[in-house]
Amino acid sequence: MASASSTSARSLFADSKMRLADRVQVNVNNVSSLARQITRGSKSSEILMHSARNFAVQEQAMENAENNLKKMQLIAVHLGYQHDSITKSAQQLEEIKEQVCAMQR
Amino acid sequence: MGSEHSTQSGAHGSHSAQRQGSLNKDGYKLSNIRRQHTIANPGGSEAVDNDNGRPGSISPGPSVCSDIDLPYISYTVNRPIGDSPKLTNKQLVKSKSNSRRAQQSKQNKTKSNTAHNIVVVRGATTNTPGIEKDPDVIRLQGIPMFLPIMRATLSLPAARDPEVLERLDPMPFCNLCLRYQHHLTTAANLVATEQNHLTQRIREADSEVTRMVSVASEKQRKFAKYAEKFSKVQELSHQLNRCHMLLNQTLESMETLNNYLDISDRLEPFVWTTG
Repeated sequence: MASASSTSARSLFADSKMRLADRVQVNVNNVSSLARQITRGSKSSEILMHSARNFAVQEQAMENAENNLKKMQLIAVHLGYQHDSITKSAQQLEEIKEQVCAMQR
Repeated sequence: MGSEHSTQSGAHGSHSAQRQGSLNKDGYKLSNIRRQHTIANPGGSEAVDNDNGRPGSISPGPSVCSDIDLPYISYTVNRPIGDSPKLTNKQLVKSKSNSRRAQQSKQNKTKSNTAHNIVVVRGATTNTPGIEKDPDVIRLQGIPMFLPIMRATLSLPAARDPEVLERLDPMPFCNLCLRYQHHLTTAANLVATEQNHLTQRIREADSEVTRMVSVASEKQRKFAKYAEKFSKVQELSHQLNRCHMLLNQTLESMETLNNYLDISDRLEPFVWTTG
């Protein structure tokens, strides 16, 4: 009696287990297809991927700009030196004029 | 194999029993899932220890209400072959509550027996934390128990389906999904336009910087030439100074030379006259 009930229960369970698993699988597949439709239908990932790729191209431009700015900083320093030397020379012009006058005397 | 089969089917049967609305509390589902994991171990329960209680579980013990469609499920859970289903509730409760702990202790005992009679004061519980700490399992356990909307059983046809389907309207859900989809699209477009603006500004800034660098370098070249020319002034002043000094020296030496001569032969004192 006991073994009979357990065997019948077991055979029942095998069938219902399979069908339950099938139903669960169908449901899960449906949910996943719905989610995929939502994400693919709004082409959000594609749009964002395009924009990210474009932005990544600008990396080169930004590096270029950074290098140029560094060069410009050096150029500014050089310009400062040249400005100093020119002002010094301009002042010396005046002194030399006086010297020449003194020598002429 | 037989006992394993019965335990697995029993677990599944009890699982389906819950889904069909038996009088079980939430804790039962938790413990059931846990038991499913431990039952599926290959070294599964062969003997049941009737003396230990369930460790560390606050939830009440599993109930033994029989199901609507599939009877005698609770009797076949964790029962080896040949067990009488007319066992008392106490023994069943004890067996169910002890199954998990029994498997642990059984594994520990087998481990300790095969390891040359090492006395294990506290058994190693390596297996269950490995399962319990899994984030997916924890999330699964966090799902509350819910009833299906359509109470159709697996084998019988959906008798109550028409009246349920009348009340279930998919249109709102469809609209919700469409709206979400549209929202995602708009958000993505917004972000894309912002990124495009930024890209444009970056390109403009880059071109500006290059233009300014070229202008600055041009200026620097011109200034370098001017500075070179102006530095000649310095040279000029040097040479003038030397010239002056040389002239003075020459005048002095002329004076001394003139003084070395006799007074009769001396020339006139030198006066520098400019034309």
